[in-house]
Amino acid sequence: MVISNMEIMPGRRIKEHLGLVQGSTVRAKHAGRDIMAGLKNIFGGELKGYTELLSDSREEAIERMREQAATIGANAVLNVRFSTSSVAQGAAEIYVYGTAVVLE
Amino acid sequence: MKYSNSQPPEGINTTNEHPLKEFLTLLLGLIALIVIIVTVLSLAAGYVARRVPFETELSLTARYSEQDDPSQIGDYLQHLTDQLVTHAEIPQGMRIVTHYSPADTINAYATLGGNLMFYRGLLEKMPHENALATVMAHEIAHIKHRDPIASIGRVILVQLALNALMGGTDADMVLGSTGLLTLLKFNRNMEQAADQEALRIIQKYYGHIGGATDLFDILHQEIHADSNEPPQFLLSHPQDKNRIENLRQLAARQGWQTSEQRAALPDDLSMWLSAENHGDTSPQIESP
Amino acid sequence: MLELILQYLNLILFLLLLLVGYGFGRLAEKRHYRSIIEREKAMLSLPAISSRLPPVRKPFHVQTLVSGNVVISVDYFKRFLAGLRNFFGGRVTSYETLLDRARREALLRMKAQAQQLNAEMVFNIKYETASISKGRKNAIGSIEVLAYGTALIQADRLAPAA
Repeated sequence: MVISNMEIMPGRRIKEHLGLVQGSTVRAKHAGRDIMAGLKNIFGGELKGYTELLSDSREEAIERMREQAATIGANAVLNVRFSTSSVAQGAAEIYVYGTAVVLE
Repeated sequence: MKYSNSQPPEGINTTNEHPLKEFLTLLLGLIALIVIIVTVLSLAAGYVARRVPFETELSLTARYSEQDDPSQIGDYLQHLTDQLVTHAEIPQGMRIVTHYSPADTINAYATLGGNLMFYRGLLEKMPHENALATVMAHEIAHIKHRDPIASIGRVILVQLALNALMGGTDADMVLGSTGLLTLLKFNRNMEQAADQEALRIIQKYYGHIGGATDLFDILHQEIHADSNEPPQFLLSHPQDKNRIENLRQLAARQGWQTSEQRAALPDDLSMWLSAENHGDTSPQIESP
Repeated sequence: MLELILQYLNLILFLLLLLVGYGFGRLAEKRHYRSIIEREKAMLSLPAISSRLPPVRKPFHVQTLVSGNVVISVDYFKRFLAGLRNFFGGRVTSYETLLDRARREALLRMKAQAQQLNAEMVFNIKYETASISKGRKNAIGSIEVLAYGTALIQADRLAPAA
């Protein structure tokens, strides 16, 4: 399945629009990562644990969106957008959405 | 169409000022601002608080302004206070009540509602009545000048202002740990004015100022002998050279004489002080 | 002496944190900038374009989503500096570099992913910035920057992984 954040796919015609598909996941960091983050807040620098956590979460969200798209018979998701919001202290929601289409 | 990226020069989206320079500028600015605010507000609060009627102050502290249960030492202290007050020319409606606490603390203080507090620890150090009367006159002078309410009003106003200004930034953490509570003490000018008034009262009461500074000499000597625990009294009444010198000059200007005459403390004072059963003569908080 | 230290423990700890934060933070930032500039030069051959529409060439490109993200934290000294600045207002220089570094790092990671796929260029770049953890007293502690776009891969250069 093609996932892209562009609106068109050069060389291939969009046969059918199937509407919005979305994937979302809420993840919390564990205490160990929090302690490391606390240290980094003093020294500065990259919080590798958080980077990985968010990157994994995005993959999961994309996977869920892909699943939605597949079940409604799409073969591509175009115009994909990401959104992140912190739901509570220490937990973040990763949200990804796009237009499910059938490409020729 | 050709697509390519190029490397823009560094330092356009960032500022190349040294962070320490900014830090120092901001910190000094903040400190200057705080000093100005504290000074202006202290002066304003002191001015306003002194104009609060004494009755208002009294109603706030009504339950503590009761005299203690009669005891020999309490009666003696109150009697001496009353004698000194007749020379202090306090405003109409002002009433001064002296309390005694059997605690070891070497201290005495004046507080809201015309209340004086004397601790056993300090009384035990008294060489003669003149020294005790000097301390008492000093505290009476604080009440007369309305220093307790002025300093409390100052602390409340300054704290409120600083909280309103600094709340939410890290700056208040620094302020908190440097301890603005030191404002609770009477400031230097208040102490100086109280000293002068005390000396004037002592001159009127005894006819001379002999022995007025004896207690300070004794306490200072104790500091050097045993530096473990400086007497609280010296912490709240710092006696530097200047102050004593100022008093000497004042005495010279006014033509007040010193003398070797000393009024004795009551013979039974040490007995009263060591008696255990005075344990509950300190002011009690009455349950409503 | 010990009593004095205990009395001002808060203040001493604070100054220590400030000093440590300043030293390590400055070192980390310098090192990071060096590495960013170096990698950016190496990646110049892979253009990242924020235009919405791709060029139409034949044979047509294969397209796929690529992204890079980074969570990066400011040091104690800079956070305190920002707090001070917060009081007076004006340009918060200590966060400028933080955001600059995060955006460039995220883009570099996205480009690296595209490079692995043998992409010719990346189109329709979008950024997403979020403050991840709110530090003490709501001062922003760390931010996440996500950069994403569509990698265009020539069909004949398609990497086996894609």
